[in-house]
Amino acid sequence: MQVGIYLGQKAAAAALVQPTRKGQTVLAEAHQNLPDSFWQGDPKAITATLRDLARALGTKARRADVPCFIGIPEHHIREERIHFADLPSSPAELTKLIDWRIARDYRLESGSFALAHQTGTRTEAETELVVRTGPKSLITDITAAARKSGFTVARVEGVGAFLAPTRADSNTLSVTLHQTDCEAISQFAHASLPVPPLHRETLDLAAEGIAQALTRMAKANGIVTGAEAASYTLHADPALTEAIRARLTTDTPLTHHERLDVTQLARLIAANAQARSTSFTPSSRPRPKLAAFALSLIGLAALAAIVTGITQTRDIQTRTAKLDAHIAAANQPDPAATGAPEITEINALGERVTFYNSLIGPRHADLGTLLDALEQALPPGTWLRRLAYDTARGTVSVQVASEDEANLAPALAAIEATDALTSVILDRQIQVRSGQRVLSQYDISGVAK
Amino acid sequence: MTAFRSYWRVPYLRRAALFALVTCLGAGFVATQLFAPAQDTYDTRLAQMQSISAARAELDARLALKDQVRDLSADIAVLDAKLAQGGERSGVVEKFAELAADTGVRIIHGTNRFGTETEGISPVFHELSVEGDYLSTRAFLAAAGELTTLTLLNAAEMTANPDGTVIRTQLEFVTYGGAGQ
Repeated sequence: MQVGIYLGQKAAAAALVQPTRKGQTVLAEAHQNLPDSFWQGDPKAITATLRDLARALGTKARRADVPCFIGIPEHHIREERIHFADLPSSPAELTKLIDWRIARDYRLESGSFALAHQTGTRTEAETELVVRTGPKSLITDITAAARKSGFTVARVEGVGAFLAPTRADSNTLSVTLHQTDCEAISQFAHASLPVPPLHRETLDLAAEGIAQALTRMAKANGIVTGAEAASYTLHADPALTEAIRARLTTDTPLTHHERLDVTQLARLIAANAQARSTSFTPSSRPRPKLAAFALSLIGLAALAAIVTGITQTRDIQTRTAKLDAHIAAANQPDPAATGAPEITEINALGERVTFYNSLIGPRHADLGTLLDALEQALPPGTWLRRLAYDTARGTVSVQVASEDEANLAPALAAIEATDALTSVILDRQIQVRSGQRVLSQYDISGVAK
Repeated sequence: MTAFRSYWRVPYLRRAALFALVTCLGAGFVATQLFAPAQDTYDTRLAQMQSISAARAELDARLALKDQVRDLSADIAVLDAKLAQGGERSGVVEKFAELAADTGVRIIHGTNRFGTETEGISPVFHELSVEGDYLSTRAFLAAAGELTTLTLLNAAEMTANPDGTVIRTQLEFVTYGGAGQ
């Protein structure tokens, strides 16, 4: 669907068109007379007009995905053909150059006109640019009012018709009414008019005849009449064009027939809008498909979050149930746990142990245990001559004697092997005389455990 | 607002927005009403379980100490009883004399002196020289260990005569007595 709006001199019309395979279907139409203040740039009049058109078309016409193409009479559009010997490649530099040329050659403030379109033909010698500009404030007001009314403005353009007379023979002028655009031209109507011979000498007469013929043709084709026709441009002999224009300029009030013509123009604008190139394109276009795609992505992400959340919730609930079972089992009384010493009891015992350890100090094995170990270790034929023992340091010093020195080595080995002593070492081995006997003696030291 | 309405009038865009809205609300509901309470419950149960496990581990540790505590308590009770007997010097000397007489050794030398009082405990140091055969000497040592007072052997030096029939033993005992802690 798309909306076409034509803002004529005296009336405005809007059409909501649905393209079909066979052409298009007009879903809704609206018509509105324009107050005189409209083209004087009264924002209230502009807003009220577009709001009424929007209401009359219905809500479908005010959707973000329904582009709205607005046409204004061609005579509001200024078209200049500027020739350049060379053109800059940068679009920004090109725009600056065009602005400068417009200001210099046509004495126009570029800021007061909205640059509509440019195109051109390039030859070896020069490049021709067709620059179409419109009153900036007016176009801005119309765009803003249309947006406020809910329309999704895709383009504001100059719409009219121009006649392309070709002299087929001496008394026939083929006339084609076109919707103007710089790059695409939609043919509206075509007619062959019988006119007097176009001679310079009979210019006035020819102009009069052509004007009458144009009026008849326009009415017959139901397109435009009266003031609308005055904006036509004849791309023919400039003098002839001016003469025809002068005769076509009237201030005739609109009739019912003319209203239908304006409506048909709006319909044609909507129908042919997509085929034409852009001009006066608004800076930001709604992108409903992109928005829908983004929202769908958000929705899918949220859906994934839901699925993940439910899955994780079930997982957590399963783990919670297992924990509940473990807790219930752990809370069952354990018979084996009875009789465990209390922490206070253990702490009190620890304090008492600390007290005795600090009172008594470090102590090694008692002397009785040490003597038992030595009794077990000493082989026959050996005996202790002396034993010194310090229970705090654990140092043990023994003198083992034997009449046969061969017995002492096993004694030393046995003492080393006993569990009661560590760090056993032979300090000295000597021969001692005891009465008439000569004894072999090992002085051995170690540390009691 | 006008732009919003123009977007809202687009059917597929409206459906996408409703889809996103519903799913976001659903996600919010799942997060706040299902997942968060379940997670809180799980955290609570987990903390409860960890507390029970810690208590159980502590109980197991105390159970493992059960026999040691019992034995240690008995030992400490014996020490406490001995410490409570006191360490009066004349009484201990008398005890050593009785033990020597009973075991067949002779006390050939003996000295006593007080140590430094610590935490209300006054140690008494005894230095004895006894003579006797090996078996008598061992019996004397064993009997000294059975004294009802807290008397401990600090050092000993045993020297046998050339034929090994007489053992001279120099002993250093300490006796602790007092109120204790």
